[in-house]
Amino acid sequence: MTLFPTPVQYIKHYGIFDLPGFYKMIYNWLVDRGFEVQEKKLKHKVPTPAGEEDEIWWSAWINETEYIRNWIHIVFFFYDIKEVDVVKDGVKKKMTRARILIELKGEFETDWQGKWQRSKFLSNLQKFYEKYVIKKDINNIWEDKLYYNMLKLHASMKEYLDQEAKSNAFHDVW
Amino acid sequence: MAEKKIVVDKLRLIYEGLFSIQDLYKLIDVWFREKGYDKRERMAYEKVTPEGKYIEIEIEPWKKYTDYVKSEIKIRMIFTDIREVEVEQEGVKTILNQGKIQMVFDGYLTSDYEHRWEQKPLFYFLRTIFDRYIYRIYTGKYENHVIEDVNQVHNQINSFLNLYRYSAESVTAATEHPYPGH
Repeated sequence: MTLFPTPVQYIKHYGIFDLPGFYKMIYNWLVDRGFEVQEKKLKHKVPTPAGEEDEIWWSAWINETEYIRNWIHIVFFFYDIKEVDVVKDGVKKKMTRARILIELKGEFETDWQGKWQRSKFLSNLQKFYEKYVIKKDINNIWEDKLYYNMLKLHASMKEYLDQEAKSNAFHDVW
Repeated sequence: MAEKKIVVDKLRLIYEGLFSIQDLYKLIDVWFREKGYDKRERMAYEKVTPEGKYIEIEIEPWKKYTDYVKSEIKIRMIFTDIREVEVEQEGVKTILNQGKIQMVFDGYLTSDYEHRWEQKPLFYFLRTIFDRYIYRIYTGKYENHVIEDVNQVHNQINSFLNLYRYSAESVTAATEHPYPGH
């Protein structure tokens, strides 16, 4: 199997937001598009006067074809987490104030079933197949599809956090 | 490693006054899309300070000219002391942002981005000869394209911000605190 990475994107934010709602939005975004989501790691540090600290690693995958599987890896770092009461539209609500750093990384995997790894001949044939037969498909279809879908997720996260620069002119690509 | 040549080095744009961050960001995004660039947003950072919002955005769109050469434009935008204000334009009240903007533009021409010519020392040597003496006219042409694109986006943003400079008839702060709830 071969892994093709896409460029990494980061979101940093400091402010008040709805943390459980934020997780739910991302989880639903992935599940609605057919991804399987797995929480690979959860690190919770003992709270200090500055607040709690969490580190969460998510991996989501979708089998695009019998040959191609797309991966989206999300790493959330939350620092100085504190619960605060906010009055929004006359309703008192519990929300979270925290510093966030989100790392969004995508990669797509070819031959995820390992069918081409059964012999050296097949393995070399796979290299030839990827280098000459489906090279354009890999670059122009699969890589683009994953990358532009990731940009959509990136834009959705920014929108949820109510960041100012949240528009995405490439929303209709894929 | 692919060779990355700096063709535009730290072109700057500084502005202070009224504008709309959302419209500015949209303008840049749409401009790159229309020019055939692929989007890449390396980082988006936002925090609320007592003076207003602090926003930092780094984008690095790229465009493949050929299988060998691609252009990359890096724009780093820093917005400071951003507040929301109510503005009256031709009798209509709208909410805009007020604050400071600093932008830095860099343009790069990247050759051999698929790393095809660096597998053997001989290939690497040939690539350098090829780039410097044989392919020189084309490389120069592509460099000019990058410079032209950077200048165009820079001018576009400049014109966009200048429109705001003279448009508002009266300005009032929308709220006592720059962003309520923070």
